[in-house]
Amino acid sequence: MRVVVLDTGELDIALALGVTPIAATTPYQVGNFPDYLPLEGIELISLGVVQEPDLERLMTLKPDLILGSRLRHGRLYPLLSSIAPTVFTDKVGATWADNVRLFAKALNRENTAEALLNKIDHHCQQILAEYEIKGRPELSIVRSLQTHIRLYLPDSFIGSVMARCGLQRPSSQSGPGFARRLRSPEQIDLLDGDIVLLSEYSPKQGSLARRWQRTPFWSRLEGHLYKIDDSYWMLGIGPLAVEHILDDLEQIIHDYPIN
Amino acid sequence: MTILSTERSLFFLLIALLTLPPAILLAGEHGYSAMSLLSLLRGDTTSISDMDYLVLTELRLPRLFAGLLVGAALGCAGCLLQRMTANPLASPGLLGLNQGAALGLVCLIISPLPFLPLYAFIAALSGAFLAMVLVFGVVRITTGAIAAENLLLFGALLSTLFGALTTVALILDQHALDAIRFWLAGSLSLIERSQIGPLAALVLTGLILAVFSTRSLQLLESGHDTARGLGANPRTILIMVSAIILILTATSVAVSGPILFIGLIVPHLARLWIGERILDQLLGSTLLGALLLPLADFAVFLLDSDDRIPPGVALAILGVPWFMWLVKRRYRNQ
Repeated sequence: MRVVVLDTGELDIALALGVTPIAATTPYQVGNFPDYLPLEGIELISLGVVQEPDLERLMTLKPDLILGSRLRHGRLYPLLSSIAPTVFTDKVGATWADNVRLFAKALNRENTAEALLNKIDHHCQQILAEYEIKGRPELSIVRSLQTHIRLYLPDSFIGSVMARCGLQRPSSQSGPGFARRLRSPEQIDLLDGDIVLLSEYSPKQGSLARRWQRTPFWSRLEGHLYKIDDSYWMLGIGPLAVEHILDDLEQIIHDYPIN
Repeated sequence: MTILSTERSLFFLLIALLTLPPAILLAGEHGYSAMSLLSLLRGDTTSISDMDYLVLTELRLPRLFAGLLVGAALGCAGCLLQRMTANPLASPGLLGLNQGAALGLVCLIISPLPFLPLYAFIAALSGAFLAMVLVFGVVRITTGAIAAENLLLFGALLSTLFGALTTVALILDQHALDAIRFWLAGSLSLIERSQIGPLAALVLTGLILAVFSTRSLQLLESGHDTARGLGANPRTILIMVSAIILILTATSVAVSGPILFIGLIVPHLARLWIGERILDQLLGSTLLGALLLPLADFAVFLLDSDDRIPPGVALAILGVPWFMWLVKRRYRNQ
């Protein structure tokens, strides 16, 4: 089956379900897929960036199925569904597990999907056991971009993974919503938690956290700081990313000292 | 409004400029109390919380100084350029400096070097510098001489070329766009304390040179032949004044991005209020620029505590109608 995916989340889900798409879009930079995806030896055609998929190219590929989301490409649905059967989830991110089930139905891989989610929940249980022993430290999740710093809230992908595993978040990051945006190091105290997980989006182009780290504000942080990989913690929003995240979390919680 | 003498207007501007920094620090919901600022001045840091102290020394004071310096530099550079070219529409942006600086930043982002503030400063500065040299070179090659009006024409022409190259790079790479978005809009929100020293040194040098250049500019305004008759070389004067404009504009643009309003409008305000004499207009532009930019920056900070609105926007939205009203009244009275 010739499957085309329109975002990294769909790419992650398809690969996790054992289906290799023929074409996909990339986030932010044309032709650059997130590093963590197992794409060696696979020839994946780039359809440009997520915001503007190359529809002409897509049409010449004559796909059998197009996977995407209403959130990202809702306005293209009439056009896309005239090219090939198109399955859209409503949202991306926090709904990743539901999205896995929906796409599994479209790809006829429902058993694989349940096994995948069960495996993830099992891993969560193992982490949670160690987490209880360490006294349930609060995990602050920080992503540094060039123009602002984000604190991820429960309605985000990573927030939902934390909630699924039963891990605690600081009070600054437990309200409803997707993310909180900070622009000034004046707000540095909101970053703190027993464990501070810092992800940098494209550090080469100068992420804002690096600026903050050069100021005395940064020394106000008291939690244990860990750097995490932006490509699967933030960019990848599917089960393959979750597996990598859980591996990291297991190590981080293992290393955390008992109070 | 009563007509004030030039000296008194300049004096009032100076007083306003001196009262501005304490007023900005005291005002607003995040303002400091006068008592705690006074005891800080005496070296007593206990009157203020650690966080407030950090905010003051790392964020608010550097930003205030940067506003004063950049405003003064752009006001002064705008005045020099308008007098040098005898063109009231000239602004430093027209010499290709802004677009050159932007292209310099984009080159840094594409290069394997990290995007650090120091590197960014150097990249923007050299971009502006190369742009100016290129404009002069192109004018020299195509017209065979260096004349002020040609500088503006070819400056605008090369600006579009630099702008096009910058846009291509930014469209292909969203990281690059995010990295310099605030800078492109002209903003003081990314100023770091370490930048203030070099900025002050370059801007103050430029301002002093500008004051010394007014005599030569006056010669130039009396006509090229008269200037030659008095022993001055018009081309040397052009190149010298352009170099001063380059120092002032390129350093400001490198730290804050282009803030067009100051360079274009402030010299006119200074001419209307202070006087037509070059030195008067120059001092007036410098003081007014230094006054208006921190004021606009503070105003947008009050409006949006998230600090997303660039001060140039506030200056343009409030300043353009105000300026039109001033000009209209001027012409009605004549």
